[in-house]
Amino acid sequence: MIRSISVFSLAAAVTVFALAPGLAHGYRRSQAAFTCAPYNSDDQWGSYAISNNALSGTKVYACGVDSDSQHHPNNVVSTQPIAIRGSAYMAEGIYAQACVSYSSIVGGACGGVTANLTVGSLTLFPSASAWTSASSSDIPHLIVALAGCRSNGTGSCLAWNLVRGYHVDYN
Amino acid sequence: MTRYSAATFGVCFLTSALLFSASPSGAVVTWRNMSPFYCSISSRDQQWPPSPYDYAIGNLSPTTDMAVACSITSDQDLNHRSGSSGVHSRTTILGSANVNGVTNACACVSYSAAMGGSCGNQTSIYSASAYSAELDTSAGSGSWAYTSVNDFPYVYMVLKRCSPSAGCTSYNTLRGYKLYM
Repeated sequence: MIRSISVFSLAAAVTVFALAPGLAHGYRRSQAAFTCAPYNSDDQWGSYAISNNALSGTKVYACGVDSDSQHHPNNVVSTQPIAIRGSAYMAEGIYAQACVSYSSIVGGACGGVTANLTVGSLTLFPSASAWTSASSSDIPHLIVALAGCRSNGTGSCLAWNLVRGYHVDYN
Repeated sequence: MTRYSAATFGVCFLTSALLFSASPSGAVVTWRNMSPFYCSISSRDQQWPPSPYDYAIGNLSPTTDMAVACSITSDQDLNHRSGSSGVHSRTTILGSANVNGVTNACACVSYSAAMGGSCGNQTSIYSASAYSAELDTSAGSGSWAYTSVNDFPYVYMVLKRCSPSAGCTSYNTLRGYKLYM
């Protein structure tokens, strides 16, 4: 009997891992960055991504994160629950932080700011501290800031900082 | 492992699979409708057309086209790769089109793990009335079948200018879009 229980437990464990894609990072929900809203300006696009197409100045986007009864800001996995995929031509070309708007009172809160240190295709993992200390009904979002493009020397852009989308991993 | 143990393991695996697949958290989500108010407009403000074209986004300009990209929420319940092995999800856009049309409509992904992305074949709609158009997700290198489940799906289209040019009364609009298995 004990052996049967052991075999059943082993089979159940194997089954869960076999049938749950992505279970290693919990429940994953993703959005293309086209859902992001630019602050006081128009959207700008790069290659399959949002961008900053100006030679100077930083462009700030706010990106909504869907939230429901099971997948909400204080139910994210403990390690790197937020992954923002993008590419940069310069170090600190992309800044990001995770925020909530409060559900029941005015205002909100944000976690620490993170920035890219490498160039090329990259992933930013902003702190989810504002999410994990939030209420399940608070409204999560991301703030992404893109530095201006690199000039080709004649007033046009030669390289851009881009964000393609973002993943959130829940328990 | 004895033959008996192997058989027991197999039976238990199947039993666990049935229990797991029937659990509430494993409930199948077969479609997802999305509002166009989430969509991104390239280098312009989002615009809302007047009645009877309202409850939608639209192009109010008689001279300038409007490029629109709309993210598709993707998760483990439903994503662009949902379905049986080798099968991918489908997507449809809904709205109204005038004589200038809704052009270049296609289903795309931005890659998660690399720069760039890909799109399926493009469709143009000149219905002069309401449209419901399924976008190609199966052809060529843009097929969703060849993308990763972690890629970011979206739909893209161009809402051409409103008509007639001297005082628009007919608009190209997007009222919604859906992802389904």
